[in-house]
Amino acid sequence: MFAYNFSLALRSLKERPALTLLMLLAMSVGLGLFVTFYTFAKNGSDIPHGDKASTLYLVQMDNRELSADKIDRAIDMPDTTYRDAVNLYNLDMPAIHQTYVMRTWATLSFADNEVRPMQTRGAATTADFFTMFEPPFLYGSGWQLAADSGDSQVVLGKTMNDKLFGGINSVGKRLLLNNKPVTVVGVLDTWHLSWRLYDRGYYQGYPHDFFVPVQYALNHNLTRDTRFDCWEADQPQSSRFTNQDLDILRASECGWLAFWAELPEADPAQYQEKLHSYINEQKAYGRFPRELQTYVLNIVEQMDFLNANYGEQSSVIMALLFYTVCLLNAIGILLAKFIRRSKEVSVRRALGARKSAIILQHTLEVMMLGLVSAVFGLLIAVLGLKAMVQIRLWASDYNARLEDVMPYFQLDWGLALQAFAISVLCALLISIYPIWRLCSQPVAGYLKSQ
Amino acid sequence: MLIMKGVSKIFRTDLVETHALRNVDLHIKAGEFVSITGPSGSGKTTFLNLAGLLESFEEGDYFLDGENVRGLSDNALSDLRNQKIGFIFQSFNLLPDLPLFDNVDVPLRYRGLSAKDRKQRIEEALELVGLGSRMKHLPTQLSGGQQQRVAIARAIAGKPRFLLADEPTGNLDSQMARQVMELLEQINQQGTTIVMVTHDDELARRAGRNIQIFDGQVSDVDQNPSDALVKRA
Ligand SMILES: Nc1ncnc2c1ncn2[C@@H]1O[C@H](COP(=O)(O)OP(=O)(O)OP(=O)(O)O)[C@@H](O)[C@H]1O
Ligand SMILES: [Mg+2]
Repeated sequence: MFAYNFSLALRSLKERPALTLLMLLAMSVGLGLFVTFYTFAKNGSDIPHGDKASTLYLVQMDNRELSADKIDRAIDMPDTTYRDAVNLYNLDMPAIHQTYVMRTWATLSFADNEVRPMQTRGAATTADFFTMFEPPFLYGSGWQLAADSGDSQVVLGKTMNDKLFGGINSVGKRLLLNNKPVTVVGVLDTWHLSWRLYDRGYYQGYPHDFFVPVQYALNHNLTRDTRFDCWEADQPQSSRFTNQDLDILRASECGWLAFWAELPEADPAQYQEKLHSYINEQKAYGRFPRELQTYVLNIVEQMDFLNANYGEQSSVIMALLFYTVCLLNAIGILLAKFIRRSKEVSVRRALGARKSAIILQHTLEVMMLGLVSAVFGLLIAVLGLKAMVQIRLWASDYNARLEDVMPYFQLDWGLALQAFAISVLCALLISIYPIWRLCSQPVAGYLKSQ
Repeated sequence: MLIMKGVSKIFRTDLVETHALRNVDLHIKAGEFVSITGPSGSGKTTFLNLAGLLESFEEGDYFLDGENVRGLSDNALSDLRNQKIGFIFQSFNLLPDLPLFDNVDVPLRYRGLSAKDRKQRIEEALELVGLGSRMKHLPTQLSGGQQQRVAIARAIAGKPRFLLADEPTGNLDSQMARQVMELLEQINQQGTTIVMVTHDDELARRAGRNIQIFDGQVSDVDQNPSDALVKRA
């Protein structure tokens, strides 16, 4: 019985190829776009730093003057001042590790000019950064704690190591950073972060190519490629802080560093309490004039906020709506296809087919449609994702690199499997009414017409 | 056998009610060859559809082989149609995309017979109607008379106890009609009960018994000749 109905289903698929094709088109284009946008949204909303995401906390405090505007959201908070970063780092805070990060860029080259000098993005931080954020190392490791005093050491990102050293183990090798010699102590493997939060850059797809100790960056006046949240009085000067007036910046109330704490058992309350007592002490020096406002939020909490406010849900919803419209269209086409078959169904029923046999025959047919449109849909998704990679590169003025952008548009195989299930399920769903129509027609309904 | 007691059928549309059959009492014994005649629109096809379990009815009782079919489930009715009844439709109702072999195969498939068994029955049936050599042809590649014979083959392949034929010769010339009639008589002689609707008085007379339907009412000519004559007059 099953085999018979299967062969009937196959035959009727071939029977009106134009209608079948139209249905496949509607179902697969809808599914393809949905999978495309869903993939992008999902990949872009992954929580970075894996297991550590719930233990890594961004520490934020409102050090601004009284007249500053009120802030309601952590994301609008100023960065941390140099003074507070150093103070907190040296204080006995209830944290396993603490670190702070400054965004920068520099030119990397060799003395012999064999490789063209490359201007590239980097981060200046402390040794604990590598322990806390756990970037994957291909060779070597982060610098030792002692090197935080400003040693000429560098950790290279994978792409940069590939470009400068052809991908070999370059640990111990020297290169020039802004024309000054530094030694490679570690090389990272590909480090894809859906969002780059550790420097509060909120970038997607722009990983750092090198890491140096903060003290090194300050000593050699590496560009401070960041925003300075200053008090009114300092504001006019702040544009100079990117590469001048370091001493003034250090003493100022300008926030520009991202300060992180890794907390035991993910308990921010204790840390926050200690932070508050630190701030209250600072008030004695005329600092922190405003009401206490601090945030100690881990990466999961930050991602929840980002995904809710800056995620791609709206495009997923649009794609879902489009898929729905496609499916509604498919219902119409299916209905047209099935209604043409009313007479055949009448004849089969008259000759003794049970309703269940008719249902089986047509269910098998739509399931096959679902499977085939899943194949086409995934094909469309693969092409769509390829196209989106190109669009993303183009939109970045080709500042973004292919290998950094790709992960956002990688089709996940689990999702691909789900797409099959979704497609078959949708096909079954849209066939309920057409099949019901076929089955509920009176047996003798279409036997008279010639 | 086939027994109807007070069976009525009303077609209701939004505007009109058509009493297609009124209070039909009838008893057709196993092995009979019954012809049904009557004017167009009198209810002949309706009667046949009812007898063939293709149509439900409002009133009365209908016993097929001793079983009251009123209230039987859709599945039970399907199985009865499949196993006990062969139907020859007024308009052949062959499936145009299927070769003859597969057309005759349809009722056998739903009976779940083995492939070997089915093949044997199909070949036998097509052989009997003289189309054994054209099993791979599509219905459209046949003449009207040949198509009618395929329809007959399909109806008898399952060896049903009842063969219900709605104008099986309606589309045929008289020569061909006689051939089909001979075929039906042959089938009847093998024990199949046949009920045949026809417009052809000569063919009607050849059947063992003639029933007339006027305006949904059945009158049994052979059992009540005077009554029928009165009505005809
Ligand atoms: N599905 C239906 N809906 C409404 N009325 C119907 C339906 N089928 C038949 N009728 C009506 O029932 C009556 C009997 O129809 P039926 O088809 O049984 O006639 P018939 O005797 O077979 O005629 P013919 O010799 O032309 O085939 C007719 O008046 C017809 O209009
Ligand atoms: Mg008729």
